[in-house]
Amino acid sequence: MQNILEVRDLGRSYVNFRLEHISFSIAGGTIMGLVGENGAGKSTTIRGILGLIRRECGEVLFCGEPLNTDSVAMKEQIGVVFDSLCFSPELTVEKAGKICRSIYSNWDEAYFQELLQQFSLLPKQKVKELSRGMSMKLSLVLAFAHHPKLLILDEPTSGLDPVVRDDLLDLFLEFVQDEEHAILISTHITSDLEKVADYVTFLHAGKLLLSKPKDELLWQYGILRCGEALFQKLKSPEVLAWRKKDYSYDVLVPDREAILRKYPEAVIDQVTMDEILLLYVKGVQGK
Amino acid sequence: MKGLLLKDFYTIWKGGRIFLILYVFMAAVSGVNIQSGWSYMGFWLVMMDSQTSSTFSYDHSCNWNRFALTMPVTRKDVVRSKFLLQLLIVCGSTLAYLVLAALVSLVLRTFEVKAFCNMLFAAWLVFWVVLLMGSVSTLLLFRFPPEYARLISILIYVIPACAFMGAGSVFMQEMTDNLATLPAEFSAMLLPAAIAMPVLSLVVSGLCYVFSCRIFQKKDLA
Repeated sequence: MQNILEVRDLGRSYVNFRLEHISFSIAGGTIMGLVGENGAGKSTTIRGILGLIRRECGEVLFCGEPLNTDSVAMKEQIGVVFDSLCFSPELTVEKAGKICRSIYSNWDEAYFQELLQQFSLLPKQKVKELSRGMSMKLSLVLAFAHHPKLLILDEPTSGLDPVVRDDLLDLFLEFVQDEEHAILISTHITSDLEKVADYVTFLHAGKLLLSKPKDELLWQYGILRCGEALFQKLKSPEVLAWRKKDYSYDVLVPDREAILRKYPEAVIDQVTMDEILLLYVKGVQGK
Repeated sequence: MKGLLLKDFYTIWKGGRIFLILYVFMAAVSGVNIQSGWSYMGFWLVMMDSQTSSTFSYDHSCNWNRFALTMPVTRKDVVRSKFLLQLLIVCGSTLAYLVLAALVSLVLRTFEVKAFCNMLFAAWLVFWVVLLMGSVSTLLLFRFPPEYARLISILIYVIPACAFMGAGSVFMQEMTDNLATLPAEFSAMLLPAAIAMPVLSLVVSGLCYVFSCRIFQKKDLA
């Protein structure tokens, strides 16, 4: 499988924030989740990938070729959805479609109309009359209608109810079914990624914490809940992050089977994405 | 770029319909008294040209540029579309004004060749002046945040327009009253002015376009 998107050592600094050494790749047929707390650098990473902000270092490759703002041919194959619809509130759904149709050379008007019907979006409805869920659906329709190879979604499910989120997640899974397409989703709603993502990249304070297959995270990683005695026995490679509670420790371990073999008395729970994020953000990394 | 222009026309149509109606009305009123009809033209052309500035505010409020640059559009296309929009608005408005004024004056039988020639000459000068002012305004709007759009509009459009209208009314009255006996040296100034204004406007507009491209090329769209 060819990598559809490769990010190598992306970096950018601001006065109070620095994005450092962000590297990951997305193969065809996969969904990559970009996770982090608010202000972790998810949106900055996406803007850096798309060339919306100047990259101080690093490069981004789309299907093996460098991607920047002026790569018009490449942008024909990329669909982007931001967390809000970027059209004037007075424009109608139909006019938004006409604008995009005039810009994309591979716009599929029949598919656009089909998606509008599928999502129950009325062509004459104004953007200001759309609910949050309907605005997001319109953004997705506009992104899908030109048959992109890569979808980049920045917080697409924030503020949506579970029913709409489920509809959208199904759409994402359908999109990557053949191995010609890929999705990068930036979100802090980790439950969505547990449903659809193949790979997850964690960011915290502008730094890359880890980038792993989701199944490895959920099925190999674990949370060891132990007392002081066992915690002191743990070796450095066995501890990814830890947090001290009143009388115990929560320790994120990379291989719970190995820990159980070594410490049969240990209590290890299956980890969730939320817990991984919490331990990295609120805990201490390494030992 | 067609899509960018389409978006701006949709935006202007929604927000500027009242200006369009007033503009058509004033153009028609100019035809009623075609001898002084040219005097309204400058102000209303400026008002129409200012619609380009309003598109910057709309773009900023819905983060349009950030989205536009994810589509097959370059930063130069975005800049080019704004300057082209301005050119189309000024050209269209000038032609429409002249045609409407002429038609109304013909219908009301107030048409005079001399007066219409004055209006044509005034239109020629005003067109280039408004284009120049609009180009400078567009450059400043690429450079400064849209919150300053109103202030920029006042500085670039209103103050010079008032000064121009004041000076122009004196000049054109002199010309209208004395066209038949205009001293040769005075009428000899008209041709250089008619040539210099377009050259100045094109040069300044060209520079504004180049600088706007450079400014927007470096802009972060967070």
